[in-house]
Amino acid sequence: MPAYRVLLFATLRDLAKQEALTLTLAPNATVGQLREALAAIPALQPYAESAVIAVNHAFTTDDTPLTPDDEIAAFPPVSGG
Amino acid sequence: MPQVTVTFFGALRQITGEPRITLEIPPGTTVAQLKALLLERYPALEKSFQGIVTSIGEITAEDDAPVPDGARIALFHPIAGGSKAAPENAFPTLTLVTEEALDLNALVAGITAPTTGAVVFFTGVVRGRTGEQETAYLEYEAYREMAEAKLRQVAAEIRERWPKVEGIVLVQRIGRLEAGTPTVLTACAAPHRNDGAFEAARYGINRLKEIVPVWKKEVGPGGAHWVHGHYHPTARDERTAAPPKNTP
Repeated sequence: MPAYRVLLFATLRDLAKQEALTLTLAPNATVGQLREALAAIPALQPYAESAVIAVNHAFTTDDTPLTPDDEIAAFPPVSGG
Repeated sequence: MPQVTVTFFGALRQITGEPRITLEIPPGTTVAQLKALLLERYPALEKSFQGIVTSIGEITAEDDAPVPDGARIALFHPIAGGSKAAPENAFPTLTLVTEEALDLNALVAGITAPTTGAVVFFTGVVRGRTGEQETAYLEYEAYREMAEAKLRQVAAEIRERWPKVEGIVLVQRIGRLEAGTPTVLTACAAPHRNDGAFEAARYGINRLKEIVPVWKKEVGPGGAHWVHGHYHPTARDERTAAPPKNTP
């Protein structure tokens, strides 16, 4: 089963207590499946549904496909400015 | 010897490792000779000098322009706006995530072209008091590579919507920022004030707050908490906005 590395920022990083996670997902996994895997981590569960998931610096929808080579990031809705 | 300050933007700054240097130059030095001096000091700049724009104070300078004593030089890459950017659209686009204090005057000067007659700029400031709540400082964090890519996207969207806009600055400061400190600058230049500069600068800050991955943690007497935004960008935010039917 392929491993997918996920960068975490802000609240998600603080709750996970690490800057990146490695998740094992089915081949041809989608962003939606990654989101479910994040929700299965107790510390991240409250934020998984609202998390923004970016792939290779682009925003996604839950049906966006993933490959293990992608740069994947999960973070809360942005609050810059 | 005449002395000048040189400010580097974008990829150039990553090569020099310094945002700004002071340099002594022989009297009568031209822009081309100044660039040669910079190459001696930073040989790695050579690859990045292709297509570079130099400004002296308020205006873009050609290679044969003389560099006066005390000049404030800026070096940056113009980023073509939109997919159909005409080659003559060489107006500067400065997009940056930085730990450095924002030099508002220098940034505005950096986008002022000879044809510019109006610059509208917005700067956000750390608010020390919100109702009864006191804020000592904000801690800003960025997903830097994506944030810089999204700043470029916002600039491209502005160029599509407001074709008369000339120079654009979109800069987000990060790190620990005390109450009263400027945190962000969006500035748009145009020939005249009613050429869309006000609307474009407002669009710039609003869009930045939607899609640029930066977060702030608010720290006050009551503790610290992350501020979360309300916008959920999806794949459709990857498309730059179509030009409006009626140009504002």
